[in-house]
Formats: sequence, structure tokens, C-alpha cells
Amino acid sequence: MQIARTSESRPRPGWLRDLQRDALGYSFAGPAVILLVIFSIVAIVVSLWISFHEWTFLRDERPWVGLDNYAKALDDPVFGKAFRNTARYAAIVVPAITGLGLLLALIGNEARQGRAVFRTIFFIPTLTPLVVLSFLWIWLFEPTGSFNIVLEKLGLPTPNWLMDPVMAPFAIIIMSVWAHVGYYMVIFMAGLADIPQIYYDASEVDGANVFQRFWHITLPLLRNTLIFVVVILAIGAFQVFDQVYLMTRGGPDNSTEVMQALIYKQGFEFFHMGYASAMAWYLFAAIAFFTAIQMRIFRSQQLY
Amino acid sequence: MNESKVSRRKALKALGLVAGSGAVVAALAGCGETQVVEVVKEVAVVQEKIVTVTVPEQTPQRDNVTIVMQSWWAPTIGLPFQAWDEHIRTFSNTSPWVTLEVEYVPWGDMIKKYLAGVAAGDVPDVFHSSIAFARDLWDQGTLEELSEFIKTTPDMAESTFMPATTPYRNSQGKWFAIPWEGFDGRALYYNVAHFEEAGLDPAFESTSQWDWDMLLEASQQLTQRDGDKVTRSGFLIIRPHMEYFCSWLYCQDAEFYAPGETKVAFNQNDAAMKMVDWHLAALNDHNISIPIVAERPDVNLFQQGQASIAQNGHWAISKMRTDVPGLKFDLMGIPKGPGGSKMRTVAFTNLHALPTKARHKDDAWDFIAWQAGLEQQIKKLQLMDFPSPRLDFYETNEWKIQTQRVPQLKNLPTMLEDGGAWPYVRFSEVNNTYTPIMEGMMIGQREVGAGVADMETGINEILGKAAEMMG
Amino acid sequence: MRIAGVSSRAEAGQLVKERHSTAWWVGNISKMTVVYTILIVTALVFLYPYFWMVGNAFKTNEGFYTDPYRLIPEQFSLDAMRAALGIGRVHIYLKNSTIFAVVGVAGQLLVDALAAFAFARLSFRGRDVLFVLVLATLMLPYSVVLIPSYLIVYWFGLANTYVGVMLPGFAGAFGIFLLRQFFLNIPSELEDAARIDGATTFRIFWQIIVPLAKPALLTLGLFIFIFQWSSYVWPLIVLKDWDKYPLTVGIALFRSTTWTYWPNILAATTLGTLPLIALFLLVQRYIIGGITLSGLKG
Repeated sequence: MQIARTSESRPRPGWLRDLQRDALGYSFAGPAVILLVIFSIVAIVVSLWISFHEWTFLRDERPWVGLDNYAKALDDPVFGKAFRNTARYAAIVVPAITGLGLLLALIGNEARQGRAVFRTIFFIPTLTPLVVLSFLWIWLFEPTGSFNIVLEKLGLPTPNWLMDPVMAPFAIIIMSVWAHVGYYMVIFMAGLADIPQIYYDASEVDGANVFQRFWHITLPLLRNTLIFVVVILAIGAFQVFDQVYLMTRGGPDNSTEVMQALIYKQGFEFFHMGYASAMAWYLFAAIAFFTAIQMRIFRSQQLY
Repeated sequence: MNESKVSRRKALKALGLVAGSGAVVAALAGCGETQVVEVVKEVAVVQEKIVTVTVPEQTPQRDNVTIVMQSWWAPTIGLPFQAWDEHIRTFSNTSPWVTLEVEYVPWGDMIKKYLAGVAAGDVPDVFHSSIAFARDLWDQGTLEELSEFIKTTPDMAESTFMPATTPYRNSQGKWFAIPWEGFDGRALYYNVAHFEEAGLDPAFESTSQWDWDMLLEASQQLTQRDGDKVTRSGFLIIRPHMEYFCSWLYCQDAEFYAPGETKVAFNQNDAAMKMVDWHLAALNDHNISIPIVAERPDVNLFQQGQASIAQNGHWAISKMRTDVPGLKFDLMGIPKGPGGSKMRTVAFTNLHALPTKARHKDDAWDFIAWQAGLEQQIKKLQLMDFPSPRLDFYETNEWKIQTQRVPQLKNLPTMLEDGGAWPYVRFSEVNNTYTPIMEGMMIGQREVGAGVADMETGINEILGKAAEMMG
Repeated sequence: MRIAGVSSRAEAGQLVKERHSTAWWVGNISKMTVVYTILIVTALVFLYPYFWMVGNAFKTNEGFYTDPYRLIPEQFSLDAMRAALGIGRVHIYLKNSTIFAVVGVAGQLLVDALAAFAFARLSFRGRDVLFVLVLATLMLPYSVVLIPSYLIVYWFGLANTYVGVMLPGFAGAFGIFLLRQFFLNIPSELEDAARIDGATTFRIFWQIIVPLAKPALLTLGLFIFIFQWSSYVWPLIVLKDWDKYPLTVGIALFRSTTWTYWPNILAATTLGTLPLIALFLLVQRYIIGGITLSGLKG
């Protein structure tokens, strides 16, 4: 981790220097931290408090139930299923989008002509509301929809995508990768732009080929971008909701039920905000755990 | 302050009553009908005068009041909704001191918004409540009991509305909502041209006599295939949602709820199993439909002529007519099933409710009663082709005139009479238990008998808890 | 924003590339063919839904419902566009969305950049704890924090105001994290040189870090814009007056349980997507190119 060196013109007592240094840090980070504490952290702490109660937001009485909500979640088979589905979704979507996003960014950089046009095209799905996208993909996945028309021409089996418990999760995954990959392509583009051109110039002089350049220059120097993409993607993937809610509503037979949808239903439809909050905190713990692992893995490969 | 306002209003009402009865006496005294009208008009003028004369004596002026209604009926949905939205603002002709403000909230977010409002103590005065959550919100104690209001407004008495609406707005003898939107159910829409082509009689008199076997037989005649592949569904099989499921119970003269709504009764005489079996056979053995999908835009397939018979709500009549003006269609209820005596369906209505923390309850109530009144219900019919939960509505001339213009509306009362219960108790939670099991059965992942039994157990648990909560 | 500086640097980067590309280009026609084939095929897959949306936005209601799959309308119609801008009030929502997005970008870029600089380049007690706290705000599902957050805004008297919608968005963990990662990449030589010259920390931030991180700042600005533009649940809960609604909520009001005129929705969505595409085309030019470190490291 980078730590700025302080350059002091005249010597001061250590404690004063420390204090000054802290004050500087706090004044830069302050506005953001204060806003986040007021509008997010307080709400997060409140949700923890709620999770120990039977809470509806509708009734005045909200009895304290201790850890009951947490215990109840462990006994709830749908919770287990939703948790596994969510983890599977994250395990596929995170590497898929990371890989494809990087690939598109690199290929886009190789194209001499029409680079802007291609980038815009890949970015388009991220600009269109998920409601519209989901509505469209429902039709693409119809038993007689565009997907199956193509598959039939290729002589492949034509599944009933959204009503097949095996295929439905993959239908959601395909749609999600398509919808989000453009976003991460742009982040990688910015990351690539951050790499001093001089390294590539030098390597070309050395006669390195495309793969060598990718492996020895691009990938190491893209490390900080990569950390960001993987961590943010994982956090987002664990909270997947819209496309599931709109395309399958968790079906068929709960095969695409995910955590966020379950929490939403418990909180806003069944008025069990306490239970919803307890489940949300399980999810929080899982996300925090994976984020910590990712950060650790990347940190151990510190480069500069 | 509120108290004094009420008494002031009551005094005004009393004056109005006196003037009104005066008008009746005068009318009785008159001879010809035209005269009566004129007399009434005159008296109305007098009545107005009385009011304007009296008000300054009591108080110089009424305080202006803004009542807020939360509704998903946004004028942006389409022209009929815009016309209705404009119309309801004429309420201030009746209560000039009231300004109506509508908070438009998308349908899917009504509950979220309401929950946030209750949590902050900042609720609307009138809440447009779907049948899907009215009872839940009442059980949670967020709605005002309306019995006292109903007593002061005879037009809003139980006897004004379809008996089927009672359970949706009354719990243990207490009233909590007034029906005003729709009187709707599930219907089978059918393509008249396809019927004629296949040599089937498209007249309602004929289709309303159908039973399940005849539906299957007709569907087979209507289905077009390319080899084994269905290219036009005779009867489009959907993933059965609860409203549809219930309709298929009622046509067997079965019930969804056991009396008291604390348990389900849907599998008495195997009604639920018969319903699922019929659909599975239609789909898998008789091949009369393309495969089911999760969220099918099935209405659109019907509109495209790719399905000859498809389920839909009664509300869709007007929309269907404007979307595809060339489409000739009619509708029937769910054909009578084994053990049933006739075509039947579910029947329901959406409601208006008064949140407990509402600020202007009296004016809000007046507005609710005004909207649910016969005059405005007729206006709604004329502007939007929507029916009404009022009984007297179907006796009016305006209804008869409108059914001549929109013939599909004509049989609506016949289809909806004896309408069965919409699953209104803890709908969201019950639906959440129902749906995965129904999906599992429809795609062959769950055995039908076991599935129905699981459904019974799961839903009974939810209903039991609901009953426990209400004591 | 001093875009001029960026473009000149981007152009400089471009020049370096062009110089090398001449030889490279001649020898790699086959490689180019492969690249373009992949790009074009993928592009068609990505574009299809967009063509579908725009095509259907220009259909009559009947044209849509009788054949929604058709990309080019049989009968070209402006009905849906007229409805979107007429009873649909899309122009009002566009104005609101623009306010939310522009103010959001300005506010959040500044607040996030300051914080990211502190987390990347300064050292102070509690820094890592605070950073974890910032990241943690992303990790709890919105369903359970939505109402508590609304209550806070309500207690501040900011319900049904533009400020209530925008203020919480002035700080974003996503942006802080993104910028921190980019700031970490910037070599410390320039900063050290400036310090020796006696520059204050703020000057280093403003005159060295910010200009060097412009690709990242522009990327983040674009993302904040898109995020604000597509923000739905939060403005919906905070606002009551539909004259203040953003486009997302406005379009949601086109739908009811029973009635939906899809062409109107697609027309409104098309209108709402065009500004984003224009913005992206504008910004993406500045995200390409590399940092040219004049006079540093050989």
C-alpha cells in the first residue's frame, strides 16, 4: 500500500506531527465519510437492530426476539436454496464478466477503425433499463424464440429455457453477462489507459509478442483495476435481483430463487422486516468474507 | 379543531337534508315529470342559497383542505386513465374547500411506498388498495375502521355492493375498505374467426354451456401443428397463477377456502388434482398448446392469432379492442368441471381505504363515497369501459347502452355471478408457497398428489398464523 | 473540468501508437480480419435488443401487438413518441433526470476524489478501518436499509425535495473504491518532486493527481451519470410530487396491472437512452490512450 511521505520544513514534536497528519487525512476523507455515516451506516446499524425484533414498520409493537430470526433462517429450506443459487450465480458470473470484459477492452484497443462504434455498441445494454431488457429476453428465451430457432438450425436440443430448472439459472446468467459486460469493459479501458505507453513501446523494441506483452505488462499493471472489478462484481452478484424477479420470479420450483429476492419478499410483501434483516446480515457476512479473501489474495501479489 | 369542523359539516349536511326533503315534497306536489325536474332544480338553487346564507352565520369560511390519494392509476397509462384522472378532480364541485392531490405510484411499488409512509407517520388520506394487500394492511392495524362512516352514508352500506366483495373488506364484522375499481374475474378469451373456421359455434349461449371435455375437444380442433410441433395453440396453457387456479376450482363447485378462511379446502373431491391433471394432459398428451414458459406474454400470442383460446382478466376487454381493432373475439367463464353445475370464475374488486394516520378523514371519506357512488361509476364506464362492484349499476340505462357499443361486456354479470373468492388472506405469502409447487407439478418435477398435499400443508400454516394473529 | 489537457495527452498517446502501427498494420491483415469478425458478430448480438426497442417505438399500437418481433415497422408511426411526450410527460422527467444526474456527477466526483486521495495517498490513523466502513455500505441489500434511510431523510425535512434525492448520493463507495485503485497506480515520483518544491497536499491532489487520473475520473463521471439516470427506488420513495419524478419512475407510471402500452414505454425509453449514448460517445474518446510520463523513468 502506498503511503505518502511527508516533507516537513522544520522539525515538530512527534505527537503534533501525527495529529496534523491525521487532520489532513480526515479533512480529505471527511465529507464522504460523514455523508456515508449519516445516510448509510446509521441505516445499516438500524437494520441490525431490527433483525433482533419482530418488526413490520406497520405496527407499533415490535417484540424483541433475540437471535430467533437468525435461527429461523437456518431452518428455512428456501433460504438454503437461495443461498446456494446466489453463490453459484456469483461463481459463474464474476469470472465470466471479468474475462469477457477484459477481452473486449483488449480487442477494442486492437481495432484501428471504428473503435468508438464498437465500444458504444458493447456499452448499449448497460444504458437500457433492465425492465426493458428482461421483457425482451423473455421473448428470446420462449420455446419458439430466437435462441431456439438458432439452436434448431444447428441441430442442437432446444430447451424450454425459463421453465427448465436446469437451464433457467443459465438463462439468467447469459442475460446478466450480456447486460453487464460493457460496463466492466469500460473500466478495463480506463485501466489500460492508465498503463504508461512507454512500457509497450519498450517491449515492442524487445520483440515481445501479444501474449507476452499481455502477461508481463498488461496484467501486472492492471492489478488495481482487476481488484476493483472482481470485488465490485462479487458484491453485485451476491445481490442480483432485477432480472430474476422480472424473468422467472425465482422459478421454476425455486431453481432461480436468490437471496435479494427472498429478502425483498420477506420484508416488503410478508411484512417480516426483522426476518428479512437477519437474512440480509447473513448475506452481508458472506459478501464481507469473500471480499476480504479477494483483497488478501490480491494483496499477497503486491507489485509496486 | 377537527372536532368543530366535523360538527360544522354535520350541520351543513342536516341543512342539506332538510332542503332535500323539501324538494321531494315539492316534487310530489308537482304533476308532470318535466315540472318535477324543474322544481328540483329550483330547490337545488334554493338549497345553495340556504347554504351560502347559512355559512357566514356559523363561520366566515371553511378552511381549505388538500386530501392526498395514493394511486397507481396514473394518467400516463393511456387516454382512458387520463380522462378519469381529470374527472375525479370535479369532486371539488361537491366539496369546494377540498383540493385533490394524487400521488402516483407504480403498481409494483405501492406497498413499499405505503410502508415508508407509515414508518414516517406521513400517510395519504386515501389509499388505492389492491385486493392483494388490503386485508394484510388491515390486519397490521394501519387502516381505519369504516363502520361509523358507513352508518352516516347509506349509499355505502353493504347492500349496495356485490355480495362477493364483502369478505375482501370485512373482517370479523368490521369494515375497512370500499370497493370501487372493477368487478373482475378470469375469463377465457376466444378468437371468433378461428371458431368459425373450425366449425365451432362462437355464440356465448353455446360456449357458456361447455364443460372441460368440450373445451379439450374444441382446442384439438383449433390447434394447428407442423408435425408434432404446435404452430397455433388451440388453448394456450400457462403456468397457472392463483387467480386462474381458483377459477378452475369454482367451476367444479369446489372452494379454495374452508369456511372461516383458516384452512384451504381446494382438494376436496380431488378438485385441485383434477385441475392440474387436466392441464398436464392437455399439454403433454393432447398437445394443444406450445410449451409453458415462466412469464409468457400470453395475451400477445392471442392478439397475434397464435392462440385460439387464452385466459385473461375481464378488465382486458377494452384494451384488447383498442390494441387490435380488427380482432374478433368474445369471452366465456371457466367451463364447468367434474362435479360442477355451470361455468364459473373468481370475482374480485379493488378498493379504497383510509389509513389510520390520515389527516383529513372526513373529507377523504366523502371522496371515497363519491367515487364509489353510482354517478361516478357510470362515468367510469363511459370513460374507460370498466364495470362496477355496485349492484344497481347493472340496472341502469347507461350500462345497457354501453354493452351495445362493447358487446363483450354484455355477459359479464352472468359470468361473475356466483364468483368465487379471490385468495385475499396473506395473498403474497400464500402465493409464494403456491407458485413453486405448482411450477414443479406442471414441469413434471413433482408428483401431483404429493404436490397438492404440500401446497395444502404450506398454505394452511400461513392461514393458521393469520387466524391466530387476529385472535 | 479541463478536458483540453486530457485530449492533448490522449492525442499524444495516439501519436505514439500511430508511429508503431504503420509496420504492424501491414503485417497483420489476417489478424485484423479475425478481430473485426469477432467484433461485428458480437456487435450484432448486442445491438439486436436496441434495434428492437427503437423499431417498436415507431410502430402503431396494433403493429406492435400483432407482430412485436418485427424490427422494421410495417407502418411507420409517431403515435408512441407523441404519446410519450404528450400524456407521458417525458420532457418533464427528462429535465428532472438531467438535474439529478448532472448535480450528482459534480457532487460525487468531488467528494469521492477527495476521499479516494486520502485512502490512496495519505496515511492517518483509522484509515483502513474507515475504508472498510466505506466498502461495507455496498454490502447490505437495499431492501433492509431503504426505509431506515428514508426515515433519516424525512427527519432532516428533505422528503419530497431534490436535495433529499441527491444528497445521499454525493458520496459513493463504488466511486471512492474505483478512484482509490487508480490513484494507487500513479507513480509517486511526480508527487515527491512537487513536495520538494513545497506544494501543499491540496495542490498535489488538484494539480497532479486529478489531471493524471482523468481517464478514471471521466469513467466514474460517466458511471455516476448512468447510475443517477437509472436510479429508481430511491427517488420513488423520497418524492411524492410527480413533477419531480425522474424518467425511470415516470416510465414505470406507464404501466398498470392491467394496461400497458408497450410502444409508449419503448418510445420513452428510447428518448431516455439517447442522451446516455451521446454522453458515452463524447466521453469514451478521452478514456483511451495512455499516460505519457514526460521526463520520468527513462
